[in-house]
Amino acid sequence: MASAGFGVELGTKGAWVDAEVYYGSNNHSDIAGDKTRIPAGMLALGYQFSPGKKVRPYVTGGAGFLTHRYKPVIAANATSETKLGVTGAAGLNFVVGPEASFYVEGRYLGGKDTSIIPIMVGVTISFGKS
Amino acid sequence: MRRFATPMMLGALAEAALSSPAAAQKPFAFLGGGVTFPMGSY
Repeated sequence: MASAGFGVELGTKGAWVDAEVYYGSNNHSDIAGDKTRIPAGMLALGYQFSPGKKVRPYVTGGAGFLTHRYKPVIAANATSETKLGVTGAAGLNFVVGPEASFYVEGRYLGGKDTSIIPIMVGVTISFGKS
Repeated sequence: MRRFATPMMLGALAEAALSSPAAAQKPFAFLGGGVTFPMGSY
Protein backbone atom coordinates (compact mmCIF):
# COMPACT_ATOMS: atom_id res chain seq x y z
CA MET A 1 0.00 0.00 0.00
CA ALA A 2 1.16 3.53 -0.76
CA SER A 3 -0.01 6.71 0.88
CA ALA A 4 0.42 10.44 0.48
CA GLY A 5 -1.08 13.45 2.12
CA PHE A 6 -1.01 17.10 2.96
CA GLY A 7 -1.89 18.78 6.21
CA VAL A 8 -1.30 21.57 8.67
CA GLU A 9 -0.08 21.55 12.24
CA LEU A 10 -2.58 23.29 14.51
CA GLY A 11 -0.47 25.35 16.87
CA THR A 12 2.54 24.00 18.72
CA LYS A 13 0.87 21.48 21.04
CA GLY A 14 1.03 18.55 18.63
CA ALA A 15 -2.36 18.54 16.92
CA TRP A 16 -2.80 18.44 13.17
CA VAL A 17 -5.40 18.03 10.45
CA ASP A 18 -4.67 16.42 7.10
CA ALA A 19 -6.03 14.96 3.88
CA GLU A 20 -4.73 11.49 2.99
CA VAL A 21 -4.92 9.21 -0.02
CA TYR A 22 -4.18 5.49 -0.09
CA TYR A 23 -3.76 2.91 -2.81
CA GLY A 24 -3.27 -0.77 -2.19
CA SER A 25 -3.30 -3.89 -4.36
CA ASN A 26 -3.35 -7.42 -3.00
CA ASN A 27 -3.08 -10.69 -4.95
CA HIS A 28 -5.52 -13.37 -3.90
CA SER A 29 -3.84 -16.52 -2.65
CA ASP A 30 -6.71 -18.85 -3.57
CA ILE A 31 -7.08 -17.92 -7.26
CA ALA A 32 -3.93 -16.95 -9.15
CA GLY A 33 -4.36 -13.68 -10.97
CA ASP A 34 -7.23 -12.33 -8.91
CA LYS A 35 -6.56 -9.01 -7.24
CA THR A 36 -8.27 -6.59 -4.92
CA ARG A 37 -7.38 -2.94 -5.21
CA ILE A 38 -8.29 -0.36 -2.62
CA PRO A 39 -8.01 3.35 -3.33
CA ALA A 40 -9.15 5.57 -0.48
CA GLY A 41 -9.22 9.20 0.57
CA MET A 42 -9.58 10.41 4.15
CA LEU A 43 -9.70 13.58 6.22
CA ALA A 44 -8.09 13.07 9.60
CA LEU A 45 -7.23 14.65 12.89
CA GLY A 46 -4.05 13.70 14.70
CA TYR A 47 -2.17 14.35 17.86
CA GLN A 48 1.55 14.00 18.39
CA PHE A 49 2.84 13.51 21.92
CA SER A 50 6.14 14.77 23.29
CA PRO A 51 6.49 17.87 21.10
CA GLY A 52 10.11 18.94 20.96
CA LYS A 53 11.47 15.42 21.43
CA LYS A 54 13.32 13.44 18.74
CA VAL A 55 10.89 10.50 18.97
CA ARG A 56 7.22 11.43 19.10
CA PRO A 57 4.39 8.93 19.48
CA TYR A 58 1.20 9.89 17.68
CA VAL A 59 -2.37 8.84 17.12
CA THR A 60 -4.67 9.82 14.31
CA GLY A 61 -8.12 9.01 13.03
CA GLY A 62 -10.43 10.10 10.27
CA ALA A 63 -13.13 9.30 7.77
CA GLY A 64 -13.70 9.53 4.05
CA PHE A 65 -14.29 7.21 1.12
CA LEU A 66 -12.93 3.79 0.34
CA THR A 67 -13.33 1.91 -2.96
CA HIS A 68 -13.12 -1.88 -3.08
CA ARG A 69 -12.22 -3.04 -6.61
CA TYR A 70 -12.20 -6.75 -7.27
CA LYS A 71 -10.22 -7.59 -10.42
CA PRO A 72 -10.56 -11.28 -11.21
CA VAL A 73 -8.93 -13.13 -14.09
CA ILE A 74 -12.39 -13.30 -15.66
CA ALA A 75 -12.89 -9.60 -16.30
CA ALA A 76 -16.67 -9.92 -16.60
CA ASN A 77 -16.84 -10.74 -12.89
CA ALA A 78 -15.07 -7.57 -11.82
CA THR A 79 -16.81 -5.46 -9.18
CA SER A 80 -16.23 -2.03 -7.71
CA GLU A 81 -17.93 -0.49 -4.71
CA THR A 82 -17.24 2.89 -3.12
CA LYS A 83 -18.36 3.36 0.46
CA LEU A 84 -17.79 5.30 3.65
CA GLY A 85 -14.36 4.54 5.03
CA VAL A 86 -12.67 5.12 8.34
CA THR A 87 -9.05 5.03 9.39
CA GLY A 88 -7.05 5.14 12.58
CA ALA A 89 -3.38 4.76 13.32
CA ALA A 90 -0.78 4.84 16.04
CA GLY A 91 2.87 5.31 15.33
CA LEU A 92 6.22 6.86 16.08
CA ASN A 93 7.64 9.93 14.41
CA PHE A 94 11.46 10.16 14.27
CA VAL A 95 12.62 13.74 13.81
CA VAL A 96 15.74 13.94 11.65
CA GLY A 97 15.91 17.67 11.05
CA PRO A 98 14.01 20.93 11.46
CA GLU A 99 11.78 20.15 8.49
CA ALA A 100 11.94 16.38 8.07
CA SER A 101 10.95 13.27 9.95
CA PHE A 102 10.35 9.58 9.34
CA TYR A 103 7.45 7.62 10.68
CA VAL A 104 6.45 4.03 11.27
CA GLU A 105 2.88 3.17 12.11
CA GLY A 106 0.23 0.52 12.41
CA ARG A 107 -3.00 1.56 10.75
CA TYR A 108 -6.55 0.39 10.33
CA LEU A 109 -8.33 1.20 7.09
CA GLY A 110 -11.79 -0.10 6.48
CA GLY A 111 -15.38 0.24 5.49
CA LYS A 112 -18.38 -2.01 5.11
CA ASP A 113 -17.07 -5.55 4.39
CA THR A 114 -13.50 -4.29 3.94
CA SER A 115 -10.86 -4.18 6.64
CA ILE A 116 -7.11 -4.00 6.23
CA ILE A 117 -4.16 -3.36 8.50
CA PRO A 118 -1.33 -1.56 6.68
CA ILE A 119 2.04 -1.32 8.41
CA MET A 120 3.52 1.84 6.96
CA VAL A 121 6.79 3.72 6.91
CA GLY A 122 7.28 7.12 5.34
CA VAL A 123 8.71 10.58 5.38
CA THR A 124 7.14 13.88 6.42
CA ILE A 125 8.39 17.23 5.17
CA SER A 126 7.31 20.50 6.82
CA PHE A 127 7.09 23.83 5.04
CA GLY A 128 7.27 27.36 6.29
CA LYS A 129 8.06 28.70 9.72
CA SER A 130 6.67 27.45 12.99
CA MET B 1 -26.58 8.12 13.69
CA ARG B 2 -24.34 6.86 10.95
CA ARG B 3 -25.62 9.41 8.43
CA PHE B 4 -24.36 12.15 10.75
CA ALA B 5 -20.91 10.66 11.30
CA THR B 6 -19.25 12.07 8.17
CA PRO B 7 -20.70 15.61 8.44
CA MET B 8 -19.74 15.71 12.13
CA MET B 9 -16.20 14.61 11.27
CA LEU B 10 -15.88 17.18 8.50
CA GLY B 11 -17.25 19.87 10.80
CA ALA B 12 -14.75 19.02 13.49
CA LEU B 13 -11.90 19.16 10.98
CA ALA B 14 -13.01 22.51 9.61
CA GLU B 15 -13.45 23.97 13.08
CA ALA B 16 -10.03 22.74 14.16
CA ALA B 17 -8.37 24.25 11.10
CA LEU B 18 -10.21 27.57 11.28
CA SER B 19 -9.87 28.08 15.01
CA SER B 20 -6.05 28.01 14.98
CA PRO B 21 -4.17 31.23 14.30
CA ALA B 22 -2.84 31.32 10.74
CA ALA B 23 0.69 31.82 12.04
CA ALA B 24 0.44 28.50 13.91
CA GLN B 25 -0.72 26.51 10.90
CA LYS B 26 2.50 25.01 9.64
CA PRO B 27 1.87 22.92 6.52
CA PHE B 28 3.43 19.55 5.85
CA ALA B 29 3.31 16.75 3.31
CA PHE B 30 4.00 13.06 3.68
CA LEU B 31 4.64 10.04 1.52
CA GLY B 32 4.73 6.44 2.66
CA GLY B 33 4.39 2.81 1.81
CA GLY B 34 4.21 -0.56 3.43
CA VAL B 35 2.70 -3.99 3.66
CA THR B 36 -1.00 -4.70 4.08
CA PHE B 37 -2.65 -7.44 6.05
CA PRO B 38 -6.26 -8.17 5.08
CA MET B 39 -8.71 -8.81 7.90
CA GLY B 40 -11.81 -10.92 7.65
CA SER B 41 -13.89 -10.38 4.53
CA TYR B 42 -11.32 -8.52 2.47
